[in-house]
Amino acid sequence: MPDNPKLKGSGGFSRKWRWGVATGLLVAIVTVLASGFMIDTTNTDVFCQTCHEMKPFRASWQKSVHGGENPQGFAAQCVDCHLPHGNFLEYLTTKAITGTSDVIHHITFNPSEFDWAENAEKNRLKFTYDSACRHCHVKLEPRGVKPGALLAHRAYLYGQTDKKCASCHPHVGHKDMIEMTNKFFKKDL
Amino acid sequence: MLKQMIKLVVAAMLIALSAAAAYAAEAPFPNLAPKELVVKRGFSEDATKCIECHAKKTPGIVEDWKTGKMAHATVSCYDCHIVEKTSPMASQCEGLKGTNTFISPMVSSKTCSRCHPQEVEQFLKSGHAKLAGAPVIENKKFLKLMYYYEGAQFIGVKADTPQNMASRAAGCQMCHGTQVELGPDNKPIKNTWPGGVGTRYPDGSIGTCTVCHTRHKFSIEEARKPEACASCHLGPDHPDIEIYLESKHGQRYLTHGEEWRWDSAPDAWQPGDYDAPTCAVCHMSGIGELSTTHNINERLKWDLMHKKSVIRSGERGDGEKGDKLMRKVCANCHGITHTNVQRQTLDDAVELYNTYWDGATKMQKELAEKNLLLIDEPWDDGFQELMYYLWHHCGRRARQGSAMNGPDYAHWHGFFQVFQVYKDMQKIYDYRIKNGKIEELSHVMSTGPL
Repeated sequence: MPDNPKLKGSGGFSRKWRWGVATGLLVAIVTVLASGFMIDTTNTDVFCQTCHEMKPFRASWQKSVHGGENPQGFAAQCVDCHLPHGNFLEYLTTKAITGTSDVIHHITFNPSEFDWAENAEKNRLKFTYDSACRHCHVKLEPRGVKPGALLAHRAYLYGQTDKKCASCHPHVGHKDMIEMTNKFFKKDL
Repeated sequence: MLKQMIKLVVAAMLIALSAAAAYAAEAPFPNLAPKELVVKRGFSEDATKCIECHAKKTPGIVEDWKTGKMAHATVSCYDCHIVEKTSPMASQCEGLKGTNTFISPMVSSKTCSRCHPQEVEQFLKSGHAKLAGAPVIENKKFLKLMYYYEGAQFIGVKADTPQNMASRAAGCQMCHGTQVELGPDNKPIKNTWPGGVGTRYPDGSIGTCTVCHTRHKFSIEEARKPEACASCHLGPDHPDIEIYLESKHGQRYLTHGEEWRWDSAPDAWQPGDYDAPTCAVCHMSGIGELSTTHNINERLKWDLMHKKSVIRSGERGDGEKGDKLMRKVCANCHGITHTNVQRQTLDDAVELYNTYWDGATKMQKELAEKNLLLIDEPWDDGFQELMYYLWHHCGRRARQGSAMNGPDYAHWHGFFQVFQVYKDMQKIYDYRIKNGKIEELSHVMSTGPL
């Protein structure tokens, strides 16, 4: 009996209890984060730019077609392009992973020493998703489409090319992104 | 009355004459200036400005574009030359100064892939992309050849001067391509542009489509004619156009190629449109059950370009598969016996050539072991220079002549010279082994076909 006195110690909580509370808290946090309210709250451009690294990207987005610079003034949100739109589970998982990674990066790295241009070239296809593009762009061969786009989209739809949407449309979401980013982080162009 | 009438007539004639004189003075010559080009269909405001300005400044370019399919498809200067302001190649022409529009005179396969993704993907897998640039960009032996020897450093021309680079700029790079270097205004410098099919661009993209579909017409008819290939595949080291023209295929092309139909759609360009194949038919075009490909390695069995001929593998393609595909091409016009005989002749020629090459390699190895080779100066060493001719010149002619039915190249410019070069190498080998030293005079000869 004396070899484990703390098992039912003065606190009165057993190990099982502590585990239960921890698990309960975790489940509660995950449930709150995964709730419609939290998803909606964290899905806005205003939320995304609370990490200051995101500010130039938001600014360049606002100047682009996808940020509202179109005749209709319609804007796609960050998450409309930067999260996959296959199924809800995939969406949620990617959102959780990306969000966590963003927080870690926010704490650990120095944005003014980062090569944003190289990063964009290297990873563009990793943080834009075809399923996201095609959530809005349902028809890839609409009436009146330019012949070049018709050719390219047909090869894409027939699976004759491995290209992704952002391979051919690399700058649609952000106008002058690298320039703005470098200026924001006070780096000479 | 009569006098009055005469006066009247004379007055009328004078008026008419003076009017004619005035007219003549105003327009003494007919106006032959071309019609001003105003385009109102399907182009953005910026694109229209490019077209209209270039119609005046570079009418030849606009003429090519105007009569090609790009103009019909409303693809303009703007669509291909526009780049992001932050692109490493972004620059501005006079007409764009002060605007927020940036262009690059260099257009790589990456741009073409925006409308033709499949074609460019195939092309990038072929020897026409990264591999084509390799000799001029990566190969130490060829770099020394281009700059130290041909660029005349060995007789005093300074490195990195325009003269020193002239041989590369005027020669090597025009077919192989080169690494484009940029000046402060992001325009190409040191004659590193334009270049051939394997050109590597500052934005990391590779390959130039306009080598075969020359700008700005991008004609499919042009790319289907042997002349498209002939600007590079000619001469002492791979006389493919000469081989083709002396073959039965070429004979027919020369005799009645003018009557052939050159503009059928890809995959639908079939025997009947032509009655003998061009380079494109066998190596690229859709024919019979085969589809069009821009990977020119795809239907090849042997590597007939390099030192020893092996069945293609890895980055050079899949030779076993290539053999099957090429036989499918032949089947459109030839019976199985004919095809088998032809393919067997190629295999035999490869085996024969490889026998010579293996013998040469054996001698070379032995000389190297006995310290009787100038390892660091191969271009100064008669034995090694002949060995270069053995594979790079007469050896290729023998093999490629055999592959494409050019008997004069297979024989007189090919195996006949292979055996002669080999015998000279044997003599040098014997001399060095017997005397234990390298001879003092060069034994170099040219094995050019002329």
